[in-house]
Amino acid sequence: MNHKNIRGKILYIGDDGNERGREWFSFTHNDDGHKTLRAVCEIDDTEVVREVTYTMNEFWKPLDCFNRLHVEGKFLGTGWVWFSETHAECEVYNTTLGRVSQSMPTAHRANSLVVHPLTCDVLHCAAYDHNTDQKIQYIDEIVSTSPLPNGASGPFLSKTQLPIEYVGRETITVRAGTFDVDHYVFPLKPNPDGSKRMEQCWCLPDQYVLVKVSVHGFLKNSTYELCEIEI
Amino acid sequence: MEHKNFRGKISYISDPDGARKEFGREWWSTTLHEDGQTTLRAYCEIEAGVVEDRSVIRDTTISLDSDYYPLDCYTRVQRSGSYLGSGWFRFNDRRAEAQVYAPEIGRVSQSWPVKVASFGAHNVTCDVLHCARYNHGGEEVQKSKNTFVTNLEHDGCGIPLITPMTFGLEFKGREKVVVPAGSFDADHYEFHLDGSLPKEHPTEHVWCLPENFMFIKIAVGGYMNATFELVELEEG
Repeated sequence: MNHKNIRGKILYIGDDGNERGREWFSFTHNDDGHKTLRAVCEIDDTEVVREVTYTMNEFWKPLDCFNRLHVEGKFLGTGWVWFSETHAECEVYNTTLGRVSQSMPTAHRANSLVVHPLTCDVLHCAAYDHNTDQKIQYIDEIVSTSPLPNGASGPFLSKTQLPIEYVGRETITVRAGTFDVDHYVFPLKPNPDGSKRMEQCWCLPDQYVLVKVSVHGFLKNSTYELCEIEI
Repeated sequence: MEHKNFRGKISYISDPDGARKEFGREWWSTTLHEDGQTTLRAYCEIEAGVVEDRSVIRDTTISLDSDYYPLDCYTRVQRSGSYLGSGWFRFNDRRAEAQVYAPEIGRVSQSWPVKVASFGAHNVTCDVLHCARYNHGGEEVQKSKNTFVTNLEHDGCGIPLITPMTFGLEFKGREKVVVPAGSFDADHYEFHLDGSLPKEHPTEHVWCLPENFMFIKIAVGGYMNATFELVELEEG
């Protein structure tokens, strides 16, 4: 067996400096190039518990994903998303939607999946093309399981586009240690009142393991920081 | 939030010639939710040699209701480094369904008109959950009813599909068991597997916590001559 495992934990820290959630994750890089990410997320203030098992191909494009949600202590929904070169399917059971099968055409295999663990946010950066001069790139054909910032709905598919800017290679220190990282920025659409929204990601180059994420203008201006890692 | 989390690791050990050798491992975590549901996640690695001449990597997440009846399950299997298949299973009072993709069979939907009593996805933490169906006021050896697994391979290395399986289950008593993770008062069950599978599976002994069917130890004799032991346990 020549696969590689990476395990870790992320702390969610609000703008008051207090912990407001946590995420346990593990990656397996399989012999055939498939990469499986498992994440269990807890958000204390909005009372969300989320399960995700998400597998990508050798090019970091989505293959399939399991997602299950508890909100405010109660089961909300469970679903499986499966991707082909022509569409994304979602098989869902949700307490308000009931049992739903959804099929969404895509121009090609989706570029990425928004399924809301912070470790998954960072994976969008794998779609950034470092071989062009275009600084801000608009990644299309991104499929999302929930339009809510905390992901506490569905799972039910919609399509979105994400602007990504590469800032450069940096060295940063977080609770888990000091790392050489790639820094990306998602300059998001402003809030309805016109205030700015932005997400910044720092991740291990080529492996897209979250080292740090910070958001501005939503999600309580939180910082998400790697506090444990084992390779 | 009032839910409880437990995390642990299990070591798969074979002792064919008096030399204990780890041939696999399973990392798992359980959340006991406020609404009574239980979610068990497991990531398993089995090396080639002891069970079959192939390696297995498996992801499973299974959720159960407050009486340990299955609600839904996801599983994904890699066989000797290559993707074999993945599937999502959902259970209600009338039906079990599977949504599956495997390169060998394509995209398949499957449905059984049955209320599933117990579902095994082959992680050893799932084996223990069959014990929840044992009626402690009933016969000594009880034949399983409406029990399903994802496939009939000993190492679970098959395309995940709803697959019926019957076996006998016997309660042997409450015992103190010592494993690397500590000392536990555990319930001991024996699985009688004669004729249950296409390839004969040796008798399996299972020890689990009485209150929540948490895995402590499994011992399998015969060709496998293996023990599966809890080596790490953490709460919180």
